[in-house]
Amino acid sequence: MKKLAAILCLSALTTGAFAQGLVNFINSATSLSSATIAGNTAATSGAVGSWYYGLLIAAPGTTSPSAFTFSGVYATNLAAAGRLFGGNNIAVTGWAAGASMSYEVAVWSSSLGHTFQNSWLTGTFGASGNFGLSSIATGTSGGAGTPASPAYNLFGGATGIQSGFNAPAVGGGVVPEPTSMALLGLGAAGLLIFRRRK
Amino acid sequence: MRTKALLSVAAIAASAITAMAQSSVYSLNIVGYATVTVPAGYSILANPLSAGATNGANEIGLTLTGEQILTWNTASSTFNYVSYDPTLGIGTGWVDANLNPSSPPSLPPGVGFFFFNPGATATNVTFVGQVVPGPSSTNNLTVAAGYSMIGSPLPANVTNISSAPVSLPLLNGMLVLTWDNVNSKYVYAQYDATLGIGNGWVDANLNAISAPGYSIGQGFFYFNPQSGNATWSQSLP
Repeated sequence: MKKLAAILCLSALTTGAFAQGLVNFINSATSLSSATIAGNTAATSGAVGSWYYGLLIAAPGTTSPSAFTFSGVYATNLAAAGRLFGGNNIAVTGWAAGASMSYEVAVWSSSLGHTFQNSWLTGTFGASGNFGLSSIATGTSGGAGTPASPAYNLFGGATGIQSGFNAPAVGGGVVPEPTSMALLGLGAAGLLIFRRRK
Repeated sequence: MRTKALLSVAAIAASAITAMAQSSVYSLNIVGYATVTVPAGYSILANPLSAGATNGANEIGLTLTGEQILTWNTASSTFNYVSYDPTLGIGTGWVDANLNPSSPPSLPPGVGFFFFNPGATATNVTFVGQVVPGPSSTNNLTVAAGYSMIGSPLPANVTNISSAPVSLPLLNGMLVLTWDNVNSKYVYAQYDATLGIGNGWVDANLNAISAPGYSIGQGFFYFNPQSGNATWSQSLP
């Protein structure tokens, strides 16, 4: 009877492995995000909500940034420049408790809109702003076992993102090419001539 | 946990007890230090020395920007979370899980806690204080029913956690959960002599295992299977 109880007890210990994984989505002073190209040190700053961040996940070992899937987990910038906060102990859909996944963090300016767009990963932007991706890291989520293991830190530690990341300018709207402008001018001139003759 | 403990306590204790025998010393405080190597990421630690009235988190002797300390709330079965990051510009730098100003927890000997080393490499933390229990005395640590995060109040390295001087009492159904820093998971060890398996210690798959060991400064989760408190008694001659 006691053996059965022990088995049941130990089985219960492992059920946590099927729950959603837990992460801490906050960066450190050594992994600031920058609004400029690599080499510049100006960090994302401004009022809270000026910048958005998204957590992207993929199978362990994935190296192509465009092969990652947006997890639905967002963060915004803090008052401290370069810092972000999406919360602690967050459950991530698609990342099982105690499972290893590769991940990256996207950063974009609020001018691009709040909602993450998959097209951004292939360089297509509907508006002008800033967009960037962190380096790719691989880690094991928390939440497994009883008691639940602590939430995995996406930044810092042995496996989290260590370096800062950049958000260079992107988009910029549609700028007419010189040849297009010339054709437009010819068309307008033709219209004027046509009206005068009439 | 990869731990290298440098402890002067034993030498100090031996010399102090010798000195006490040679002179008329009626009270003795053994003060020492313990340096524990903490790998990057999470480790379960426990303060092996008592610094008296000072706050336990400060006894670690090191505050890293981005470090986290998670203590266990037995009543709610959740972690109490604090982290230290003065670059956030919030209060003294200690914040809770929601970035509200907070304060470091008290970490007296016997209390285990998760420590998150935010660096990419291992670092040393040094505990300073007095040995608990003192000479010729017994320290009784009360362990509540259910899960607790604890560590040995008496600093010692042993290969069997229930052997002297650590002497964790053996209770049928008890669990000892140590933390595997490399694989980010608990390592389960359950004791139940009534199972008739090996020496009573089994892993999560009921395979016979050796009794878990214990290093200075190491903490672990303990499951007290009783309906009431258990007592962990340790004595020094």
